[in-house]
Amino acid sequence: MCMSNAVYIGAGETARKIAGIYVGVDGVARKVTKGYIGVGGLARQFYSAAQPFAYAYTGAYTESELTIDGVVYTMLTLTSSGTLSVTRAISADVWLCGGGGNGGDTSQTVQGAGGGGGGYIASANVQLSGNVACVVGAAAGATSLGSTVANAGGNGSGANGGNGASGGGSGGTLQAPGTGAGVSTIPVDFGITNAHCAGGGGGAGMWSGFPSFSGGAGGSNGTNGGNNTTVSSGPVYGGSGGEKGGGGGGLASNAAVSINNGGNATFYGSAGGGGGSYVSSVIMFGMGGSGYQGVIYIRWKKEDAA
Amino acid sequence: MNTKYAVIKNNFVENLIVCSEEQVAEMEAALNATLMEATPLGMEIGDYYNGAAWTRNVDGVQVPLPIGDNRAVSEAIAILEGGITNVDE
Repeated sequence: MCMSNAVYIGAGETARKIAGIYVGVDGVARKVTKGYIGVGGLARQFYSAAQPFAYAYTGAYTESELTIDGVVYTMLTLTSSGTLSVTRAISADVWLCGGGGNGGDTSQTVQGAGGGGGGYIASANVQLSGNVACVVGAAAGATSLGSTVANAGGNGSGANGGNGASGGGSGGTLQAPGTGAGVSTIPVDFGITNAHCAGGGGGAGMWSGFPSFSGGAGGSNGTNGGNNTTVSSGPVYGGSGGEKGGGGGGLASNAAVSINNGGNATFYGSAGGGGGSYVSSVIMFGMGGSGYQGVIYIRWKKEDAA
Repeated sequence: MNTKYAVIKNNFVENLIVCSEEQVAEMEAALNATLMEATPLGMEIGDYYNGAAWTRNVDGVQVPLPIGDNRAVSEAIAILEGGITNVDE
């Protein structure tokens, strides 16, 4: 049986749509919102006067269809801020992450800077209705949908890694890595298998010989950032960025200051790598890499929007 | 094209968001805030406009941000100070 939000009547061999169905109750015409018919002993709905569902979004987004456990969803991926407007209320699941933190900069007092922390995540079941403000955080900015908020990852602070969903690696002077939130950053309910919100690697630090320090690795999928390591000889390296998209820590090289810069993050919520520094006969202070913006995923059951 | 904007309330940068130029007025109304391009000054959350310059708290001291000779920044500050009311969109 097919349910419809319209009822037709034959008139002159033409199907004419009935604008509405009313029934008299105590002398008042009451609108019928749902109609049922008995089929095999069961009440089957054949009519609903519910308003058709439609939506519009003013920012950048993509729409896709998603099937999870046999349930078909419409899924939106919002990549810039805007207003989501729906013609009637609908239940929706949302998953969002804040922007990744930026890697720290090196200086006379920070030789090997900490990586940024990945943006925090938030998820909720919400009732979308009317116009909903959707804010997509830039690097080091918070993302929100209505009252659901995902904070930004922390920037690398000195040689300390930033805290976040996944922590940033520590930089080159034996400071602390960033703390991760300890929860998965993979939005599996949205059919996505990539981790988000990786930490940035810590920058390397070398000055006037050894020991020097290689940066710690950025955290992945909710883990803490890695500690830096002491290096007594040979080259020193920046820590690797977390999976997926965390920026790597900068090198400690006297060849060119640009290669001491931390890497920029490349995926939603991921953080930039900390700068590396070389201080000896020449001084080269690397800058921190930039975090990556956040994102919002929304899904609703396709049948709810029928 | 998406741009990084600082969300400004009471002269403080409250958030950093991704937004297209076409949505700036809409987001300003939705957030009850002023949006300003964040990249030229490298603005961060917590930066403060003291009436003369944008500043950042560094170890307890409000340090002016490196504004430089940037027309976009100069115009933005003039708008905040009320010096420019006829803004060319």
